Order: sequence, then structure tokens, then C-alpha cells
Amino acid sequence: MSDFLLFDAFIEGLIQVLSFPAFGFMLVGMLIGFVVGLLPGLGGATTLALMLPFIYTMEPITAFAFLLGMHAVVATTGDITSVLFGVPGEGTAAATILDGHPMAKKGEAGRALGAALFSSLAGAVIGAFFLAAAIPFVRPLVLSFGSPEMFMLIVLGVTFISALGGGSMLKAFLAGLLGLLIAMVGQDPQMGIYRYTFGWLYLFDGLPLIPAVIGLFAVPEIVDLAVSRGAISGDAPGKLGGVWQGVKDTVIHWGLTIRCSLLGTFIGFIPGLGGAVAQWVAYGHAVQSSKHPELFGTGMVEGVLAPGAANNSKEGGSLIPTVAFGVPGSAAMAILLGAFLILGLTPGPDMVGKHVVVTFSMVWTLVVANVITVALALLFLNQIARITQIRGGILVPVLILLIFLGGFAAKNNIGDLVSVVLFGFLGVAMMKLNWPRPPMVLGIVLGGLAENYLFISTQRYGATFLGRPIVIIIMVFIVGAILWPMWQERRKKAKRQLS
Amino acid sequence: MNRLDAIFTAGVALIFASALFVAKVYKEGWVIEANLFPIVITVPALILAAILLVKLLRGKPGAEKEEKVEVVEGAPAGGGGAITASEARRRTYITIAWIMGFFLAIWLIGFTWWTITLFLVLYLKLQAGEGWKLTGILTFICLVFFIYLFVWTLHLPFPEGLILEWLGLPEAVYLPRPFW
Repeated sequence: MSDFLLFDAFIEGLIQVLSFPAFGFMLVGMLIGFVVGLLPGLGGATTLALMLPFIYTMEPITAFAFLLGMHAVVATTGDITSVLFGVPGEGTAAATILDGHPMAKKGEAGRALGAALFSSLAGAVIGAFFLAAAIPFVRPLVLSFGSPEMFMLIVLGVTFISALGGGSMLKAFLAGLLGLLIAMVGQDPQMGIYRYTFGWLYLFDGLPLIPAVIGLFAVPEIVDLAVSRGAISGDAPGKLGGVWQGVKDTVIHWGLTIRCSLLGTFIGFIPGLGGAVAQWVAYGHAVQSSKHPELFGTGMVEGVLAPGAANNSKEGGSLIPTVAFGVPGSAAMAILLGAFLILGLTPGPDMVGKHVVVTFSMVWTLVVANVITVALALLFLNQIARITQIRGGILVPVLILLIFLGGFAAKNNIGDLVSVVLFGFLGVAMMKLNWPRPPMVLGIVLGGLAENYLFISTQRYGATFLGRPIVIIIMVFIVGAILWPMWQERRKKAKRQLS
Repeated sequence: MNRLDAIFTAGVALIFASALFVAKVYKEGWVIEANLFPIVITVPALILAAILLVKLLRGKPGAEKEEKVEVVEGAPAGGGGAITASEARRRTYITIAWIMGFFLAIWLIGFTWWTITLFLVLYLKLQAGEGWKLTGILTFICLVFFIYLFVWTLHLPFPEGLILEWLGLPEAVYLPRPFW
């Protein structure tokens, strides 16, 4: 297809998205996505599955405007509860808590929300245009990534644990390894043997991520709020606004926003890595590239911008293999693949050929849905941020109810509630004893994938998989990621001694 | 805090040791494909835990003395004023007790509208000391949110409480349905 025809299709995609009935259905989808994003535990993938039956009678562009409009907004609004209450609205919004919630505690909820939403918008736009640009020549890139490369990418992700440590690298690595061990619970992916299940049926399928994340992050925040007996924002109500400051922060740190958006797009683009990984890797990058890594976790705006940007850009990235090869980049994309089949479309060459307008309409849906959501949200963010001024005594019981509802919505099992409580206790202990919690979540997220890809790599290539060119390049990055914080620490010590 | 940290680290080491024991010794039918990864994880973890434990046990003994007079930094953020570490600990235990209490209530009498009512009213009146008006309004909003979204719209199969199961009460008694 010539460049001219591609450009025509690009513009046609936009026109189709803005036409009736696609635009109307997109708005309905966005409304559903907004609510789902705010509710802890209800994921974008679950909602996509619930909405799938409604598209049977729709035209492809209308159907994708409805589904993607909803999905794009879920990722954006998930950050709101993470910032305000420390309760992740989405599994993929957990990293935003680390600096977003401390900012809310300092009375900068508006600034944190502004930064989270505007960086999300930037990420969504970059991811979507990357998708558009990648359509013509994406095939060789995807095919160059086999199991060995995937495994090494995961090891790179685990290595970021050192950056997320926030002080003690030893504790960070131990927390990460504990997360990897927790990921081993359940049926092993190769032989189907049940490991560490103690004969409990609930554990046969492994421990779900949502109750673990809610327990590790939300319960300690609730305990903290109950102990303080005040409001989340505390003594600084005057600074509650600052939404525009958050927007300005995104522009000031434009380099970080773009880098994390590209990182998110790339991770989304690799099938099987999933969205939960993108935000953590981006956060790790923000810590490592900062001049003040020791301040992360205390309310640094860069710690909000990085996961916000990566979280949304990964949506564009994960659409690439889904559309081009029918290989879903995430659970949500696997469900979207079902939509292709319902609508009579076959992912593959046709989607960049005769159905290219549909593909470009997906790109535009991601962009338009995010622009509208962020524009509307920015108008009300100062009001939303005032929630942080409500007394803790009123918020705590509501939040306790929310964490149990969110935890239960994951697998609809009483075991989910047990998980929330146990991980909650663990989270409180870790917080009190200064053990970093993000590495543990990263371990839980990556454990199953790492084992799977390592097994396939060793079965297929033996030890020679370590000699593949891309594997070597990633290994160099891994060594750098380990040595960089150590070198920075040494340099600081030397400076201190000199002064 | 060193002593508590050391106890916690020892607990983490014990988890890794147990996991290694299960993978290496008590491996009921586990083949190499199933126990390789757990071994790869637990062995370095045990070494790291041992190093951390030694570091913590060799730590400065003055640290615990300081902890007793420590003022919780997070506390003033809520406007509740500075509180001592022992008071913060007491409030932490109380909050954990409320969370555990709600969990036990769900387990025993089910995740139902009246378990939620009971919890919200008790917390708001006894713990937060709020008035009846606010308690009523907030409980009503939470119930509407719970029943409309989670019960009627999403049809989540909330667990029936053990006590109600023993009593053989029908589901309709404690799960309201839409009137239409």
C-alpha cells in the first residue's frame, strides 16, 4: 500500500471515529471505563469480557470504539484512587501509589493527579502513534523476539528491583525473591505439578495479583490513616489545587515522559509481558535516571509521571502484535482478539491491508478517548482532590469495605479475602520495618513468566540461548542496571568524605 | 527496631528454608522441571537472608532505645498531632483488629448487606465517634453502591456465611433482589 493511501486511511480512521454511532458508543464505553478504573479489583480485562456480548450487532469501527474507548480510560482513571487513597484502582496502577499517595499526604493531591493524568495522556498519544507508525514494518521486529529474549527482558525487569529498593538493596532483592517464590504457588506450567498449595483448592491456580497488591499497599495506608486520625492531606489544604502544576511537571520532565512512554510501548509490544510490568520498569527507570533516587517514595512527581506515561502507552504497543499477527500482548488483548472473531475480522496482513481503516480507527480511539477523559477530568480534579480532606474516621471503614470488595472481585473466592488480610499484615510489617514492597510485587508479576520462558529457552536451545545477539545486548543492560546504583552510591560516599 | 527487623528477617529466611525443604527433600512427585526454579530462587535468598540477619544482629544497640521515644512522623500529616510510638502501635493493633473483625464477620455471617451495615455502623459510632445522621447517610450510600453494582449488576457470587449455612437459611433472606 502506497504512503498516500496509508495517509488517506489514517485520516479516514479519524473521521469514522468521530462519526455517529461510533463516537456515541465510544462515550458510553468511556463512562463505563471511568467507573471501572476507579473501582479497585475490577480490571479492564474483566470489563472487556463483560462487554463483549454487546458488540454482535455493531460495525467493526463502532465496536472497537466502544471496547477500546472503555479500555483506554480504565488505565487512565485507575491512577486516581492510587493517588488519593493508596488503593490501586487497577493492578496496573499500583506503581503510581509509591509517590502519588505520599504527594496526596503532603497536600499535593491535585498536582499528583494532574501529573498522572497528563502523563497518561502523553503516553496514550505516543503509544497510539507508535502503533500507527509501526504498522507497515512491525513483522521482523516481533519475530526477532523469541523465548530467550523474553526471558532476558524479564531478568532485566527483576534487576530493576535494585533501583526500587529505596535504600537497602539486600532487603530489596530478598523482597523480590519472596515475590518470585509466591509466584511459584500453584500448578507448575511445564509438568502440571501442584507446588506449595497445601491441598487448598484456591491455591491450585496460584495466588492472584489483585488481592496481593491491595493487601501490600492499601492495608498499610489504611492503618496509617487510622493511626493519624486525621485527613489524608493533613496540614496542607492550601496546596490541594495544583492540577496545572502537575500538567506543567509533565512538560518540564518531557524527556522522562517520552522515554517512559516508549518503554511502555515497547513492553506492551512484547507479547506476554503484560501491563503490570511496564509501570514498574518505568518507575525503576525514573529512579535510576534521577539525581535524587533517595527521595523516591516520599512524593517525587517523577515517580508519578513515569508509571502514568508507561501505563497508557503500553495499550498502543500491545495492539501491534494483536492486530498484526493475532498474538495478544496482554490478557485484555486476548479478549479483544475474541472481538475480532465476533466481528468476522482476521488479525494479520488483512488488518494492515484491506482493513487498514479499522486499524487506524483503533489508533484514533486510543487518542480521542484519552484526550476527552483527561480534559474532563482536569476540570474536576481539584474537586476530586478534596476527598483527601475528609476525616480519616469516615474514610477508613469505607476503604476497608472497598479493599474487601476489590479483593473478592478478583477470583470471587473467600480465599481472596484471606489473601488480602495476610498480604495486608505482611505489608504493614514491611512498611514499619522499611522493607521495600514494590520488588515483591514485581517478583509476583514476573515469576511465572520467567520460569516459563527459561524452560522453553533451555529446552529449545540449551545453554546456547545465552549467545544470541539480542540476549547479549540485554545482558549488558542488566549488568549496567546492577552496577549503576552501586557506582552512584560510591560516588556519593566519596563526595561526603571529601566535604 | 533492629530486633524486630531481625525477627522478621529470620521469618523470611524460615519461609525460604521451608520452600527449599519442600522442593529438595519433601518433593512428592516433583520432577526436575517443577523444582528447578524454586531451588534457583531459595538458595540465593537464604544466603542473602543470612547476610542481612548478621548485619542486623551486629547493628547499633542504641537503635531500640531511640525507638521508644520516637515520634511517628506520618501521624501529624493527618492533623491528629504528634503521637508516641507506643500510641501509634496501639492504634495500629486496633485498626488491624477492625480489619480482622470485618473479615471474620464476612466468613461467619456472609458478605451480605447486613454484615456491611453492622461493620459500618459499629466502626463509625464506636471507633470514629460520628453522629447518627452521618453514620446513617454513609451506610446508606455504601449499601446502595454495594447492592446495585456488585450484587444486581455484576452478580458477584458473594460467599454465604458459615453460621447461616449451618442454620440452613435460604439465600433470599439475606441477599435482596431488585423488586422488578
